[in-house]
Amino acid sequence: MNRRAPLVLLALALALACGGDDAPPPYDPGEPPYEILSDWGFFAGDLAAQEPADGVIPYRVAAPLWADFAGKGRYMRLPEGGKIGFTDQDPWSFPAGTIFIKTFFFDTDRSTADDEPQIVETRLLVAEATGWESYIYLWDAEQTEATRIKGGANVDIAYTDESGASQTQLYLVPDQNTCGDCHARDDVAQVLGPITHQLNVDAPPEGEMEGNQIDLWAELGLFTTAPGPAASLPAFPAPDGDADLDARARGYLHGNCSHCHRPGAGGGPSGLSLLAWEEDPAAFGVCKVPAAAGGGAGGRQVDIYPGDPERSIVPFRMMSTDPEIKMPELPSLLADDFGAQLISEWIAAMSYPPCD
Amino acid sequence: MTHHAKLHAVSLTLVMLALAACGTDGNADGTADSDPDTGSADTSGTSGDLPEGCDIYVEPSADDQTALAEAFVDAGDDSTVCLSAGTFSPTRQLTLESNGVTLRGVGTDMTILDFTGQITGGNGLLVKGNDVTMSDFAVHNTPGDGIRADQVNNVLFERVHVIWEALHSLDNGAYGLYPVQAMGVTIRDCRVVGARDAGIYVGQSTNIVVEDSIAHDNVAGIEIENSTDAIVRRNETFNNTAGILVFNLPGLDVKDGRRTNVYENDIHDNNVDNFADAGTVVGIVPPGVGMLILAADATEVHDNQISNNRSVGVAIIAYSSESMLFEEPNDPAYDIYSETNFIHDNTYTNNGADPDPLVQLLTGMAMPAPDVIFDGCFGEDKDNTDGALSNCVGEADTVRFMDADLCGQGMGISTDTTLVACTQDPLPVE
Repeated sequence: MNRRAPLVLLALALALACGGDDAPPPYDPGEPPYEILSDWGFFAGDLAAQEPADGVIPYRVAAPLWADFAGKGRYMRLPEGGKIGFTDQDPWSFPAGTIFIKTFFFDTDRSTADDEPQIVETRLLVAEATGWESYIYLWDAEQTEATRIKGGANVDIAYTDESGASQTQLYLVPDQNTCGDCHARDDVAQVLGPITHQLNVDAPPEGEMEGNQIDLWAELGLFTTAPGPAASLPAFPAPDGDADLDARARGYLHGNCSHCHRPGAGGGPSGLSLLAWEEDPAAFGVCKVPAAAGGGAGGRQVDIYPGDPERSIVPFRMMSTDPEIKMPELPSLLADDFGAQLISEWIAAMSYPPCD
Repeated sequence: MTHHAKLHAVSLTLVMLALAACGTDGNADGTADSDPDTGSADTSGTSGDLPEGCDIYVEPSADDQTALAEAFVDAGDDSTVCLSAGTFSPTRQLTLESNGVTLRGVGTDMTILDFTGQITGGNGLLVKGNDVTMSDFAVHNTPGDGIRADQVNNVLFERVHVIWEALHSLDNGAYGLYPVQAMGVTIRDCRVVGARDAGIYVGQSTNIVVEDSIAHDNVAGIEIENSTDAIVRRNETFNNTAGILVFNLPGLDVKDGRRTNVYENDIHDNNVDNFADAGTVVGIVPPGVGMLILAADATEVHDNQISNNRSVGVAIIAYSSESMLFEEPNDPAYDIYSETNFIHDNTYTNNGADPDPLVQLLTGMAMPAPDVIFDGCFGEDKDNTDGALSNCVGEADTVRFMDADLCGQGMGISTDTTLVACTQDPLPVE
């Protein structure tokens, strides 16, 4: 880095920053990443309404990642003429210029069915020439605009709980480098949600399309080679549905854990792989001794003790909010009680032989 | 990050610096302040001062978390992030992603990252870039691990301290310096105090040097686990439960660690009661152990001072359910035996004087317990006709040795040194 450059830039920056209200913005708005979300043009009309602009496709995933009660709006924008390379196991390939957009919002009145959500942040994954880059936009209180931040933010969410009482919840917007904690493996950033198993569900209601997403996307010609009918492809069931318990649990673990717990990712060194298609019970935790769990083991001997969730490390860590213990290692502060319960039920129902 | 984007990042930082400089702290003329001891009244956490050789400079502020996180985001490849003197109070894990970054403070007593208020993240610092150098700062009181360097090439820790101020607390984090699946690790002139597992822990890594460092009041002072080609020299480990561990554990991606050369260390007074979590392998290590080799191969242990460890000086054991210490590992590719280890020319003083009951059980209540214990376990289906797999002990006649025959493959407990009278090839020191 040129050592002289900072002084020159400092002078320029000072001129800009101290020049009064009419000073031009410090960043070329003609070139991404834009400093404000609206400049991307993802949404038509009122930004908070999140009405997708032309070419912005809303989608949903079957087994979403828990994020402290945040709801999420998911959207994809392909570059002009760009197509998706399909595989029935991850990862799909996306052309340079693809953008994934995820908006995090909170139901501020949980005592009623309908209300105005409070949008807190919008995260982007942009397929640049160098790979996927992450950008985070923090929404203003007035819900009119979101501004790019790099260092994260703490946001107090005021809400009315199910009983009608006023509550406050601290929500952490991650810093930009934290994105890679989940999205990078083998030093390459990846998208996580858009895989066959996750997208092989009906499209979300906010889109104007009805039916299975993969079938719809195939009809729209979004794939380089059309996959077979979605019904013939693997799919995660809804974790809170009534499908087979094993399939629901494995889908949940994939959606919430496998970004790290797979070879090459952050949790890879533990040897615990929670990919839905991991077939070796020892690799997905059955009678597996932890390597470096520290206090995370909670006195338990194995990741999963078949038939006995109380003796299993996995649900213990899912239920903890202690930073040393809690899993997943994300900047979320609250345990997903539903997920922990699901995994406990799954372990309780296991018929593998005991570990001793 | 592209070069172009990096320039933007730099200019943005400078805008923020400049905005801070527009405040009331007397720096509004924007002139660079050459004296780092002045002009620190802004609240942005970064400063217009750029000390020599620094691309980014961060000082303590009202929002250390954001200032440090932004500095780490802005740190492009090959940049130098300088931390001023003072105590920073981050509240989250800080991730360093770029390659070739130097993160440096001004001294381990001067630049302190105190994570007492950390609310999220399993580590204090998480290093993901290659060729990262950290020097001259201290990390205090992380709820989880201190500094983890995950799947990186060439990480250097020099004059870095990781300290948990509450000694032996069950709330302390597990690992202090924590490179894992790294190719090229150097830990030099570092100090780790209070870790609830291993103070200096190198796991699933290759090409490692741990030297001239101090680890005390941890459960394990230094642990080399599932790693290959490590040098552990001139360190001092004391007041831990165990001084130095060389382990191979089952169920990990990287298996079959070998060739750890442990020499010229001062391994003394490692007698602290084990305060590790009960579910961990380290949690079963009895107090009073100087050095323990577990299922590791081709370790050379020589020219160390091993003294006042109340249970045993050096122990070599298998990860065998025969010994009652371990359950049968659920990992078919795992080799439970310690093989080809060579213990020689160490100096032993007053070890085994008050052995832990577990050690007494394994040694037939020998009192004092031996300086060197080999459990006598070996793989019967392996061909060792040339002796290449043998564990060898070449110590002075005064050194008390025991083959504990825990697997029942020998003739019972024996102190006959001819059972281990052999040599293995010395390991390189570079």
